[in-house]
Amino acid sequence: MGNEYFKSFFAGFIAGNILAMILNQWIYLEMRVNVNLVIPLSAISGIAVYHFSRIKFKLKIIFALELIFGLLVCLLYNFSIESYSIIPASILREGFLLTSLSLGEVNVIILLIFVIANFVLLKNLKWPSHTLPGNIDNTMIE
Amino acid sequence: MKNKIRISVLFGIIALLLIASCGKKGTDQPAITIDKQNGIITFPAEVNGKYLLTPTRHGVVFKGGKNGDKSIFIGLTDHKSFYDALVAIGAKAGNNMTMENKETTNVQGDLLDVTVTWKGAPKSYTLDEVINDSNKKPIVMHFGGNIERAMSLNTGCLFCLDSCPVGIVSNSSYTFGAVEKRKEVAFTGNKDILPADKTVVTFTVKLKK
Repeated sequence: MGNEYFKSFFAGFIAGNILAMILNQWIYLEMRVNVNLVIPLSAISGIAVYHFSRIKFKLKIIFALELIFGLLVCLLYNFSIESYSIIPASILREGFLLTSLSLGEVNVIILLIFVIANFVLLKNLKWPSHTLPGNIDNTMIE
Repeated sequence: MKNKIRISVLFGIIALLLIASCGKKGTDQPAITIDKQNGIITFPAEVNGKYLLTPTRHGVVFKGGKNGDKSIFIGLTDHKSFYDALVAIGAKAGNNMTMENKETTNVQGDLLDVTVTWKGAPKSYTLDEVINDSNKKPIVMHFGGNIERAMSLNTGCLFCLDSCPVGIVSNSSYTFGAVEKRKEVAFTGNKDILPADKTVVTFTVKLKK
């Protein structure tokens, strides 16, 4: 149960990051409002979706969102390597109003979130039996 | 149970980082210094790493203003003190920009020489060096004035990169709307020259004679 809430939160968090990055391209809007507030809103919405509808976020959807997020950083910012150290951190900093933190510090938070979240998600992944030693009866369900 | 521990650890680490950040001190530099004899103002600002890649129309905006996080440099002095300092060194405001004429009028007022430097910088850089204009036009800063609107709207704008009816100082090379509406130009901080995000830099503003 707790794991489903965590998955819903993480899926909403990544979806919010993707949405924020797209909204940041609209300079007129970006100059007037904090478009990055969609990140916490989306993360909370993710939890709300599971809480009220019991719709579960499949792992492959979460991993696909992570992939889209990574590709968008590259595509929207001219394939520059620096974009990975600046863009996710800057939108997260504004979204969660962490203005006293430097981008370097926010990058540490992002790294921790992604490493721990993926560790938790992969730990719960059930692998197909042919990839496991012995006769363990297991199926890839998600 | 294990999941709960992992999640608690994650949020614990985040909370620790946030608490650590709250204890940070700002710069020891005074908010603004005025050298009336030589007509020079200096004030500190922080580099905003976001706008080294993302375009903006804001050059320097006061941290406490509504647009405080929308600029290449986050000013550590407020717009009223900056305006008063410019008046104190004898600069004359243009006050020719209105909300009605902003898209067809270029800012007037005394011309200003603006340079930026920071600890470890090899020299003082001009705005043209630290801010990239996609059209490579020079940045021409005028004392626009606009103090009433600046105070009532509280945007915190010190330097705008197009002619602005709210900013205290703005660039006469473009009229309002050049960045956001007409997309004539894109301004970003020069990542090849500027120091890292949050580095405190010192702006020097001198009346051009």
